Amino acid sequence: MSPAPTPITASMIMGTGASMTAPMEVEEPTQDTDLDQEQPWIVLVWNDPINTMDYVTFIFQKLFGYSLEKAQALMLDVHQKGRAVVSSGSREKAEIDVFRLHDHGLWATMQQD
Amino acid sequence: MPLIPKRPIRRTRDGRFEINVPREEREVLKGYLDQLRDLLLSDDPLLRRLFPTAYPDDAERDAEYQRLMKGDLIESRFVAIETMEATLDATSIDEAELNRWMQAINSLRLVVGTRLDVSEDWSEVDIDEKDPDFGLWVLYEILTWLLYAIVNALSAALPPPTATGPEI
Repeated sequence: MSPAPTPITASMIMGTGASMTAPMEVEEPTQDTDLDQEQPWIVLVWNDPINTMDYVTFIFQKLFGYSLEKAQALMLDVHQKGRAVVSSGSREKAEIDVFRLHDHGLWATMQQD
Repeated sequence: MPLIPKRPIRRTRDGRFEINVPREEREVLKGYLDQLRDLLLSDDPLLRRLFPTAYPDDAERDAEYQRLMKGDLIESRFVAIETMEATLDATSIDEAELNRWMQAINSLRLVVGTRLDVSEDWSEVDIDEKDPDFGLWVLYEILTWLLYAIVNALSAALPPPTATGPEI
């Protein structure tokens, strides 16, 4: 083993066409934000081809204190349906959850319900 | 693959974790952790999975999120890399250190997986020695093997559930 390290930097991947499908166009931005102040925020985790199933399950348990069964059900939802709501609450809480998920390499976004 | 231990990480009775990773694999990891640190200082698109969009519907709020949080997300990865480097030759580490190993390994795995354009049904049998990226595929396999072992070990150390979570 121990082959000479191959550089992992830039250049080579440009233009390979990333497999990641962006969730950018799921919903139109809402215009009447004044009316939505009270609406809770939801945190979504999106499917990606790299994070492993057992890792994602473990992170849901670790960050949110969910049972193994709940964490696995959420992970499978992400895997099979492409995304799952993993937590909800105020904007501040949702943002902290998104940050913690990003810190663990999960593809998380937030939006008003 | 040469012979590598099936259980490289093992939880011991004192709550610590025994590390049984061959020296060669540790050397490989050391080199790539260095590269990851350098990469984190760049704006290379390979990093995109480490810094995802938070507000896909709201560019302004997302810019604010990135402004406030990106520095912390980078710093957190630096701490993980440093922790792993400092304990790379250890035979036993504590739970906090193993969590940092997990973070460093997963960050590196996301970058390498992005670089290799890994698909969901990837399997190690696909590795081809003639592939110019053979070294990276081997690295990816080492990272996958270690991550699996770490998640296994840390799962066994989780406290009881504290929340029921959203309805599905």
